[in-house]
Amino acid sequence: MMGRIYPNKDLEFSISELIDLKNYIFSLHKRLALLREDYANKTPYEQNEVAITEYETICKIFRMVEKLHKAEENLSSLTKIFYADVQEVSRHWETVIELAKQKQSDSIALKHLLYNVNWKELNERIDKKIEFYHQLKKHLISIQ
Amino acid sequence: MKITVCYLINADDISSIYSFECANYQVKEREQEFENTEIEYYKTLGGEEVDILVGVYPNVSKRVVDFFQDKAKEIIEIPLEYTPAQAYNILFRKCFNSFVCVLPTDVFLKPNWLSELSFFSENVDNCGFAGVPHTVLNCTYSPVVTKEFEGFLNVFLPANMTIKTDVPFLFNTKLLFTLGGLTEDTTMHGYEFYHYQLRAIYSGLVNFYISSTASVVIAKRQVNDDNAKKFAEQNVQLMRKQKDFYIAL
Repeated sequence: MMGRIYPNKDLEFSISELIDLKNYIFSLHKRLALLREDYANKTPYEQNEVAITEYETICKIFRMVEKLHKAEENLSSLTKIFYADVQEVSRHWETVIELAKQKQSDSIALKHLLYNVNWKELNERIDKKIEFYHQLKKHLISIQ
Repeated sequence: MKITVCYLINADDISSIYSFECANYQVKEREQEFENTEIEYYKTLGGEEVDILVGVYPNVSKRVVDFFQDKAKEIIEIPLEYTPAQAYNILFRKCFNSFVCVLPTDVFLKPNWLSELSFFSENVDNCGFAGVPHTVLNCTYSPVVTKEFEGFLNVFLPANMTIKTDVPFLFNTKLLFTLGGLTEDTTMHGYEFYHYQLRAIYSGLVNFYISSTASVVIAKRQVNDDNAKKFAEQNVQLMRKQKDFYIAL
């Protein structure tokens, strides 16, 4: 039974990007170590090439680490938003649904939204539930 | 090979649910050798068959506990006054599989993280704690001796020979018999796993980060102060003089 791993697309993208970036940095670190293998048996030209590659790799690591910090900040803010959404939905879901059912006669769009939603999917997928919750909230605000 | 995963939830935070889901929990059907036999299911995490032990403090909400109800082999209630070290010791007493994995909350991983971790733990000779790295700063990429192959495996060895424990890590269950449990001395609060790793080092084991995959840690764990670290080091030195690293579990 294969399930979804990440709670939503944004988080999935951000986590995958961050892990890939880290793996790339780790590979650069590995390159630094592996470059020095059998160093003494290399020709002067090869030794010079090793030195050049080392400088380039170190510069690349610095650039990637900067990128990594930005990606970490991005993930941190995305998770904060996601958890805040989950908290809000779990607190106000019943109230918003109840209100939407009451007000559906005032808005065709709202009625359409309530009739066309897949309730089973909403119970299984938190990202869909959050999306639907925000849609309902937007409609309810526009009616008032 | 089956692994016992210890998951301690000490705050009523929904992140414990979602970071667990990101660890790739699945229920799989076991391949049957014969036809018409009853279908058997098993639980996997990170691509490996697991038994999940969840420790929950009383302040954790019913919603979080309910989430783990069908996933965990056992949900163990931890008294509020217990420290994380005492809580982990309770969980460790129930570990009977080949390896023990400690999975912290707020960590995001690649789907096959536990397979990678168990590969290294199984193959590295004298393996102490093997962790999925969050960062490899102050680490050297070095070969370590393997058990079965006539060769080496490259891993990241930390400069101070101990790994950070805010990442998922794995160790052999035999350690619980040879070194016992975590110290429950509160003067070393926050450094209990550090203390354990030092004991492992003096027993001839190697702690390392695997080199094939990375982890993302969102919340950095706050540890109290350097005094606790110093106490832990002094205590291990004392144990070393007494030539006894065992702490009863």
